[in-house]
Amino acid sequence: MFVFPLIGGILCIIAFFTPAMFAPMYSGSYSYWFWGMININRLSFNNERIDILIVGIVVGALILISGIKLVYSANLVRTEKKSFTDQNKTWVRMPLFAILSSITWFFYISNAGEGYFVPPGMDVWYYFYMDIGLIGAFSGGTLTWLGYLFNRIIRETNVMSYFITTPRKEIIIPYKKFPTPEIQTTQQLETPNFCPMCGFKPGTTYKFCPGCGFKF
Amino acid sequence: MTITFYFFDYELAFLIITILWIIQGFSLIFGSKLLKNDSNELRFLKNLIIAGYILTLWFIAHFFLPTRMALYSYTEFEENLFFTITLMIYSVIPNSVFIIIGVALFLFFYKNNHLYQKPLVYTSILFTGGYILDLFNSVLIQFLIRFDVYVYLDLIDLFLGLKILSLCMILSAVVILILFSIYLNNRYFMIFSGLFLFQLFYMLFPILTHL
Repeated sequence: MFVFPLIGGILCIIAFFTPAMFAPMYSGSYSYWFWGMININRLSFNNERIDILIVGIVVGALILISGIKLVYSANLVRTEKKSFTDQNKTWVRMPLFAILSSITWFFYISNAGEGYFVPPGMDVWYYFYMDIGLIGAFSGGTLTWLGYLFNRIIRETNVMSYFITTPRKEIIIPYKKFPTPEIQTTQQLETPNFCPMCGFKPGTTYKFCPGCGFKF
Repeated sequence: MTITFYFFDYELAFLIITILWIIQGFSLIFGSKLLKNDSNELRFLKNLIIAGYILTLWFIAHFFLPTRMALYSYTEFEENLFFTITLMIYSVIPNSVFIIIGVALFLFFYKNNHLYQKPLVYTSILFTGGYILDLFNSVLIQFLIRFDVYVYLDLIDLFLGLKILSLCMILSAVVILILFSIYLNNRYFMIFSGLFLFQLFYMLFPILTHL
C-alpha cells in the first residue's frame, strides 16, 4: 500500500523543482516555476508582481511539505514501523493540500497572469502550456488519494465481488453427464453381496432386496 | 540534399518524462516476473514480459533519436522518405508499442481463467482501442498537414475531440488497472499503473486548457 503515497510524494517533490508552465518561443522556451523563477535561456528571478510571487511561494511550499511528508510516511509503512491505519490522516490530508494548492495556483494565474504573462485581454493558457510542476503536484495528490481510496474499498467492502464472473463454458467439467469411476466404485463397495434378512444374492445394482424388499 | 539532426536538445520536462517511462517499462517486466514466480499456472505471461522489454527498449532508443531534423534542397522522393521516417518515429511506433502492451494484457486476461476475468478483458479492450484510435488520429493529422493543410484546419476541433476521447478511454482503463494492482498487491504493477496515470494527465491537461 505504501507504493502510491511514495510515488505521489516523489511526484510532488519533483513538481517543486520543475517549471509549472512554459511557453515555446522562437528564442527558446519561457519556463515559470511555482516559486517565481523564470528561464529564457538564462536563469533569473521574477520580482515585479509580488502577489503572484507570494501565492507561488505558498503553493510551492505546501506542495513540497506534502511531498516530503508522503514519502516519509510511506517509508515508515515500508519499514513496518507504522501500520496502514496509523497513516490514515496523513494520506488523506497531504494529497488534499497538493491538489488544492495546484488548483489554486492554476486559477490564480488564469486571472492575475493576464496583463503580466500575456497582453491584457488574452488568455494565459492560450500561450502557456502546463508543465510537470503543475501536473505533477495534481497527479501526485490524485494518485495517493486513489490508492488510499481503492485500498480501503477493497479492505472494507466486497466491491471485488462485482468483478467475479463465472468460468468460461469450455472449462466447466461435465460432471453430471459422465460420472467418474470413483463414484461407481463407492456404490459397489456399499452394496452387500447377499441380503441379511432372506439370504438372496441381489448383485451390485439394487437398492432394495428383490426377494424380501429389505432396504440395503 | 542537406539534412541536419539536432541531438540531446532536451528540456528538463522531457528528461523526467523519459526516465519515468523507462522506470515504467522495468516495473512491467518485474511485475510480470513476480506473477510468474507466484503461480506457474498463469498462461500468456511471457507476452507481457516481452511487451515490457519492448516498452523499455523503445524509450531508451527514443532518448538517442534526434529531437529535431531539418531538410534543405531535397527532391520529391527524399521529401517523401523524410515524411515516412518522421511519421514512423513520432506517430506509428510509439502508439504501436502501447497497442502491443494492450494486446498482451488482453491475451493475459482472456486466456487465464481467474475470477476477475471479464471486467479486465473489457479494460484491456478499452486500452487497446484507445491507442488504436490515437494512432488513426495522429496518422490522419500528419497526412492532412502534409497534403492538404486547409482540410486539417477545418477539422481541427474533430481531431482534438478524438484525441481527448482516446486519452479518456486509456485513462479509464488505467484506473481499473490501479484497482486490480492493489488487489493483487503487486508493487511493480502499482508503480506501472500509477506512473501511467501521471503520464496520461501530462498528455491530457494541456489539451484541455487549449479547448
